[in-house]
Amino acid sequence: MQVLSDKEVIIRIKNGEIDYFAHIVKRYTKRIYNYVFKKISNREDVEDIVQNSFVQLYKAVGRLDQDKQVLPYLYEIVRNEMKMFWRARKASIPLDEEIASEEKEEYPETDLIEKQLVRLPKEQRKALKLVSEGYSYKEIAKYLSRPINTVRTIIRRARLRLSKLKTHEKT
Amino acid sequence: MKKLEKKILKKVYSFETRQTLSELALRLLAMMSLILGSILLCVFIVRELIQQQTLDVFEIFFEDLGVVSENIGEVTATFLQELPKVEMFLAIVAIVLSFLLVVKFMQNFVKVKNKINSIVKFWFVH
Repeated sequence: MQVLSDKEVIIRIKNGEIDYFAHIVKRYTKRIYNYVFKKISNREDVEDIVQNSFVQLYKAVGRLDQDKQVLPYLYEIVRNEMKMFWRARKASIPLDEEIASEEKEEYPETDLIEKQLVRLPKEQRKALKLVSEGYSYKEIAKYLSRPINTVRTIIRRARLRLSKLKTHEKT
Repeated sequence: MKKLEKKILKKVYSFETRQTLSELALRLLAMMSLILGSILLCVFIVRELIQQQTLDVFEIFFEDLGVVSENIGEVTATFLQELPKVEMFLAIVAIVLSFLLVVKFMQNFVKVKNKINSIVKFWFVH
């Protein structure tokens, strides 16, 4: 199989050569699978979400900007699919209020981190989010249109600031 | 992971096969009915004009050039007056629409051809 960039693949798919979608599937399935598996542990559900996400991506290919990378868009779709999955679950299993409050008590850190993240500068927040989604520094540099060393600095500063905020909150 | 990749591709191809076939069928049906409709309307209009003997006004073109230039305005006015207007309007709309559909189809022809090739390759060669 030829090694083609995302842009070339998207151009070909837009031209009707849909067999090139296999390139995208082969390139990103593992990464997306691992990403979803971190949040949802049921293998079947994960597979369903991954499949639906790729189908949604395929449906949206015509509207995709070929100069932009596919992966951020795919992550956006995956996040939406997961939201829909949780919503469907919520609708089918009414959550006991007691259990819900217990769960909230189990993860008090999540809310705190979200609050602290909001207090970071936009660029640092974006970079940290991308790191948590499994992007490499190189990809983040490309996404933010910054040199890789700058991205390293941004992330280091963001982490430092987060830990400072954390200790400040505790005291 | 290979199994999952196959499942994804199967889902994508099922969607695309349904989409391409229904789109193709709809387009062909629309094109054929519009072309057929415009032909029928044209035949109807010509038959009507023959019946009304409206076409006889054009016999003037067998006369001298002077006579033609003198009466051309009157001939055209008579012709336009006797035309079945509603049918004429419908025929023009049908012709324009079918022309646009054919042009659009020609523009997308390579894309549709590539899609059909990929679909056939996936379902019958793999």
